[in-house]
This record gives sequence, C-alpha cells and structure tokens, in this order.
Amino acid sequence: MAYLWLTLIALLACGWTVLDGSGTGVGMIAARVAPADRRRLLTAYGPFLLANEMWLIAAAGLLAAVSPVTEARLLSGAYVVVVPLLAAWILRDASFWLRARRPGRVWRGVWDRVLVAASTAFAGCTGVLLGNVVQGLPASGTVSPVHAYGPFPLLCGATMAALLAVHGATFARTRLTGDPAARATATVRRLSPYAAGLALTTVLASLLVAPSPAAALALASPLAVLACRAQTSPPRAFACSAIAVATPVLALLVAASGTLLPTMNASPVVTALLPPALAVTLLYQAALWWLFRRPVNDRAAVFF
Amino acid sequence: MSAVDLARIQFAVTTNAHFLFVVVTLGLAPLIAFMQLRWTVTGREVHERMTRFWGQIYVVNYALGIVTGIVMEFQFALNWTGISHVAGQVFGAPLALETILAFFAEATFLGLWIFGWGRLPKWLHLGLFVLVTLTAYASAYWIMIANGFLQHPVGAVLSGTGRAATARITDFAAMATNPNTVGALAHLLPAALFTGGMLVTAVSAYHLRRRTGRTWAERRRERPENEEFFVRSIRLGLLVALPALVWTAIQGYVQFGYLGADQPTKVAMLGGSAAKAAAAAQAHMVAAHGPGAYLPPGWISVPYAIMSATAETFALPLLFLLPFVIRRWIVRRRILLKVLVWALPVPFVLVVCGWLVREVGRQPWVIYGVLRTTDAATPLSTGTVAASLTVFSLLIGFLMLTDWLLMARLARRGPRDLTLGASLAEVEAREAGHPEPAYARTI
Repeated sequence: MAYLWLTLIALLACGWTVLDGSGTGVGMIAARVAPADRRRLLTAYGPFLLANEMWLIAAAGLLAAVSPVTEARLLSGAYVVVVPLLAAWILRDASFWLRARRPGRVWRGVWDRVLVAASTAFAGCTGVLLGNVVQGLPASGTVSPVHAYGPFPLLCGATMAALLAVHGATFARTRLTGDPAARATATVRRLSPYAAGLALTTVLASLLVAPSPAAALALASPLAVLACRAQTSPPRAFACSAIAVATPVLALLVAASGTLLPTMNASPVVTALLPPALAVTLLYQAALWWLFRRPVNDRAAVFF
Repeated sequence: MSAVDLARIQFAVTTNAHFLFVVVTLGLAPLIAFMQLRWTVTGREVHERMTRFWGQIYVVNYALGIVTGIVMEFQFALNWTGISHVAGQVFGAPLALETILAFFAEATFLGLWIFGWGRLPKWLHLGLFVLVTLTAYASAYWIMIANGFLQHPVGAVLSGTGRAATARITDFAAMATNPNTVGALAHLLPAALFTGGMLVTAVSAYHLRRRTGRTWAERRRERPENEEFFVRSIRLGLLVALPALVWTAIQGYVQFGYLGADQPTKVAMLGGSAAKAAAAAQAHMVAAHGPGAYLPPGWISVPYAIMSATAETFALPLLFLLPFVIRRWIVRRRILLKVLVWALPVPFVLVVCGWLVREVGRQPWVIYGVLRTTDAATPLSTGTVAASLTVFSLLIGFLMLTDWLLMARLARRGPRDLTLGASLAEVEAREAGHPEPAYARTI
C-alpha cells in the first residue's frame, strides 16, 4: 500500500510542477509580452489556473492523510521558507484575478509587476524548499534562516525559477499565435542555456550535499531543457520542458522513498475512496486540457 | 503574548477571512444555478444578464476564498503539528478526501464554466455550474466532518495521552454522522443561503432606489434603470433569505440537544454570568481530566447574544417584507429599500459571531477532551510566529479590502460592460472605446 501512496504523491507533486508550474512560468514571462497582449497571455492560461493549483493542494492533502508526521516535519521544519512561499503563491493568484477587474494603466501596471515578482518568488521558494529537503530537515524544530537560505538551497531556487520561466514560455507558445508567440519562442531560446547550466550545476552540487543514485534521474532535466530549445513544434517543446521541471521533483521523491515509505499508512476510508476518486479527477482534467488545446482566438471567453 | 497566542490569532484571522468569502460562495451558487436554469430554459436576455452579473460577483468573491483557503490548509502543518502527531490520520482523512473528491472538481468545473462560456452546449454549461454548486456543498460537508471530529471526537480510538497519543479511525460512519458535524452543517448552510440572499437583496435594493432625477418628485416618477432585472433579483434574494434565516435560527437552537452532553463547558458559558453552571462544568472536567482551567472565555456569551437577538428581531420585519415580492410592489418603497441596503453587513457579523461561539467556545481544547490547544501548537519561537502572523494578516487584510472594493464597484455599475461571458474581441474593443463587434455575441 505504501508504494501506491508514494506513487500517487509523486504523480500529484510532479503533475503540480508541470501544470501549475506552467502558470508560474507564464506569470514570470508576462513582462516579456507587449502590454496589449498580456490579457491574451492570461486568457491562454486562464482555464487551467484553478484546476492546476489543485494539484499541490491535493498532494499536501494526501500527504497529510497518509503521512501526517512527514507533512508536519516538511512544512513546520522549513517554516522560514514555507511562509514566503505561501505569501508569493497568494500574490501570484491575486494578480491573476484582480488585474483585469479595473481599467487604467496604473492599476494594470502595478498588478503586472506584482505578477512577475510573485511568480518569480513562488518559483524560487519552491526551489529553496526542495533544496532544503535535499540538505535534510531537522527531525524536530525548524531550520534556521541562515541554513534554509544557504548556497545550495539558493542555487536550487535559481534553477527552479529558470526552469519554470522556460516552461511558462513553452506553454505560451502552445496557446498563442503571432507576436506574443514569437516573443515566447525568443524567451525559450534566450533562457534555456542558462536554465540547463543551472540545472546541471544543481545536480552536481547535490552530489556534494547529499549523494544519491537518484541524481542520475535529475540529469534528464538539463538535457530536456536543451532539447526544448531545438524543438520547432510547440507541443513537443512543452513536453520537453515538462520533463525538465518534473524530473528533479521525481528524483527527490525517489531519493527520499527509503525514509518516506515506512511512515505511509492510511485509514481504510481513504484507501477505499481516494484512488478511484483520483482516477475520475484525471478524466475530467483531461477533458479540460482537450477542450482548451487550441490557441486562443478573438472569440475566446475572457476573465483575467 | 506567547507563540501559542499569536498562532491562535493567526488562525482566527485567516479562518474568519476565509469564512466570510466561503459563505458568499455557498450562498450565491444555488441562486446563480437557478438563474442559469431559467436562462437555459427560456433563453431570455434578462436571465442571461442576471447569470453573468451575479456570476461575476460570485467569481470575484471566489478569488479570496481560494487564496485564504491556501493559508488555511497549510497552517495546520505549520503552527499546529500537535494535531498531525496525535490525530493526523483521523483529521487528515476527511481533509484529503475533501481536496480530491470535492475541491479539485469544484475548481476544475468553475474554470470550465468561466472559460467555456459561449463555447459549450447550453445544457452542458448549466450542468457545469450545477456541479460547481454540488461540489462546493460536498466540500463544506467534508470540512465539517474534520471540524466535527475536533469538536467531539467520535469514530476513532486513542492510545496514550497528551502529545504522545495517537488516534486511528475505527468507525468512519460514526465520524460522518457525528451530530456535531451534521447539526453544525444544518445551521451553517442556511446561514450561507441567508448571506447569499441578503447580498442579492441589498445590491438590488441599491439599484432600485437609485434614480437620476433632481427633485424628490422627479425621482418618484422615474422608473429605476434595469427595473425587471433587479425586481427579479430582489424577489429571489428575499425568498431565499427569509426562510434561510428562520431555518438557521431553528438549527442554532437544535444544537443544544447534544451540546449539553458533548461540550458542557461551552454551554455553561453561553448564559453569561451563570456562575453555578460554569462551576459545575469546571468540576465535571476536573473530575474527568485532572486539575486545570477548562472554561472558555466568558465573552463568548456576547456573540451568542448577538446571534440569538438578531434571529429573534430580524425574522419579523422580514416576514413583513414578504408581500412586497409580489409584482412590482417593492419598487416604490424607498425607505424599505434603504433599510435593505444597510442590512448587508448583518449576515457577515452573524457568521463571525457563530465562528467565535463554536471555535472559541471549545477552548482550551483543540480536540475536545483529548488534546489541549497548548499541546497542539508547534514549538516555535514567538518571533517566528509573530513574523508569519504579520505577513499573512497584512497580505490577507489588504487583499480582502481590495476584493470587497472591487465587488462593490462591480455591484454599483450594474449589469453593463460585464466581463464574465464576454469574448476577447469584445473586451478589447470596449476598452479601446469602440463599439462591440457584432459577431462576438453570436458565438
């Protein structure tokens, strides 16, 4: 049973980095698109915003049910990282929702800046949190700020931010046409070498901090970023950047599986209801992706 | 102040912020589903505009519900790890099932509803909002299972004491039918409907009152703008709010049927300075759990008095209002309309009062009779919790205020230039100051 829970948590966590990560990336690259096209960019991502962030809420919820002590240790152990992470997440969402609620250049300009800053901070904090897990969190109590924001976590933060920015740009390419799509392509070209370099450095640095054979899996990340630079087809480029953002998380879970598996154990009601419910969830999620698979046009419904 | 006090303040701030938006979500959703049903059946423009106008207010409100909910979910594992250690699997089960069975579906279907506007078959689009409504109510039920367990732990066995104890579920059916879950839900859901109904009523009353004429006589003769729109809305709002309030009050008192046995200390303090009852409850708890202070703060009798007084004084005037929903009778009743506009804060005040009585009333326990609040708190330094409290209070306070101002602005503008249900070309043309292209409305 523990293997099933770990697989489902890995599915939700990697799903979150791929899906919601593309939204964070969209937020990060919003300033690279002309101001007149920003509504179009947010409309391209709009249908997925609510559904995608559910993947992290579901991952945390599942972890709380099958291994509450691990969830408590992860979140309260990395308190000084989790609080800014949540604050950045809230601000990213708020700028998506509130930006379009009023006309006016000042209002929109302020929320554009908040969107870029909060998305970048959210991506960075996610990386710092993962870096802290690699370093190892204290068995009890919380990690000190100096340690939590040490060189290795900061490197992880920068890597995550770079990877998600590329990923956001490859997402934008799949659902936009014309000038904003061309700018997204240029962003992928410009950023992907840096992202690949950072990812490679992080993998090598992790061998010094906490050597694990799972690091070999994370090597797929820099390779996939470089591959997405070479792709001309937008869906394939998106698939490559998805691999690039998901593999570090997957590698981390594989490396931690030895400590995680013995703690995992759920009540019978969760065992009976949750796996089938998750299967149904995947079905309507797939319906959502299928329905909004084409690039947005002038007739697309807006809200953000 | 200790770190525990600060963590409690943070919990109270974020939970109440969340609650104020969630009741509007729960209260408006069935009304909007009804409006959209009428639009789908009749195809009339007034019903379409009603769905879009109230739907837009609903969605803007939803934003803060989500944002505050994020802090809610994560702060258990940040500030209250004692719950995870003692009853993590029990308390975590309904929360995990809520996220995957209800919240996930609600969020996905809401995204489909907003962005599928004009692209999906009409009945499918209606079906999506019905699903959004049902999953929101399912969500409330799962959350109340978790909360009911904290109020009155049934369906689980506990081994050990204090922070070293561990609980596991033995009877999930008992958890799901806990009177402290079902009873509270039966009180809370009509309260949400009362809030949604009053919101629609107050905004409609504002528009029905607003005329442009200069003199009183002119304004009296003038017909309100969008008269049919707001008469229909206020009728629906009042017809939902009135029975919902009565039902809320009845279900409030019904809870005393089991609370006296399940939470004697809470009931003892609600009577205010009923020293005898309080002393008896305290003695009873000392006998069961050893020496200690087991009474919640005495001030919870104040929010309780506000709730019961409002229930008793508000229901009669509302009954008096009932005949005015016939035809256009309410349109000229300018004083009545003014009262209805100013009644808007009432449901929100009541909701906070209800939270205070229920949640502060069970102190000093997190899990009543099992785990004390002080034992549940994560051992953190005061500075750490103070920093987190400051960050979240300022951020959520600022966003709440912004969101409410935006909702007020949308409500005041009335049903014109709606964004929800508009196309990209339509909104871009509107903002550029051009007339709307004809094709945009026919998709």
